[in-house]
Amino acid sequence: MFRKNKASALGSPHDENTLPLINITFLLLAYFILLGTWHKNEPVDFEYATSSTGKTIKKEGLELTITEHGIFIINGRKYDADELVTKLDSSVVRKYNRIIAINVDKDSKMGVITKAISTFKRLGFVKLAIITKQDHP
Amino acid sequence: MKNLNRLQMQLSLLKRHKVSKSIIKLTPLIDVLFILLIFAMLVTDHQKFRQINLSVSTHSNNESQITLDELVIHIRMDGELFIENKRSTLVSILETIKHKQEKKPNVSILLSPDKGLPFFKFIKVVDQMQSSGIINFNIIGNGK
Repeated sequence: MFRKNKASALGSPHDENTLPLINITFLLLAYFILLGTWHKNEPVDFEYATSSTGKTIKKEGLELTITEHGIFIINGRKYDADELVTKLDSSVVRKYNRIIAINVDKDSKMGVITKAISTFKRLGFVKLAIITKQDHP
Repeated sequence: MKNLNRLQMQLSLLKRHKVSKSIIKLTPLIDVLFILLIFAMLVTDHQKFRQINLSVSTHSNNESQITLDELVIHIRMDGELFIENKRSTLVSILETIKHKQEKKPNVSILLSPDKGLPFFKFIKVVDQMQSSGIINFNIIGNGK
């Protein structure tokens, strides 16, 4: 009785067969939206270093990427070291609560990273974090 | 009784007619859902990320600045480790650190990576240190 009513309500008996499909599609969609991390594609090839330790990521502060060739990327725009210093003036530092999260390519050289971290500290960032990919998800 | 039955039939027909007018076409809904699903599948990432908090020491790599309460670990470009200018393995370095920390809990650990050291080799050392409970360490800003 109920099925008959539902079929008629949906207009065609074929529609009734698609209901489980729609349900599953909705569930899959909800799964990907809620549990997935939205991945931002960088305009260059980039690979994270892996680690098994570290804290869970808090999405706060300025997010910066350092590529293998020492290029700095903020919001998809590339900067060299000198441009970066002019870009990160005191208002930007304050806007991001003096927090910076750095995505570093696994093949980046430590000289570039330590120099960048020293510069960020000098500019007024007090909390610096390096983002890595978890070893065993 | 007959009139009542006829009235009921008319009412049910009317109801059915009303409901069938308010239906949502399912085919476009499924199309849109599939497009959204494919988008979500391609754009989202199920890898987990970690953040390692770092701090840079104000020291340079000048040995005269290093005090007795500091333990300097130098990481060469090829990943070789040196503690107090002696070549060592990571395991023995971790033991030395723990031993020193037992004697002097305030001993600060300074990591001095070579400029050309790849980041993944550095993070491997940091990862090993953190997993054995050594959390407080600084990087020396101006590596060799």
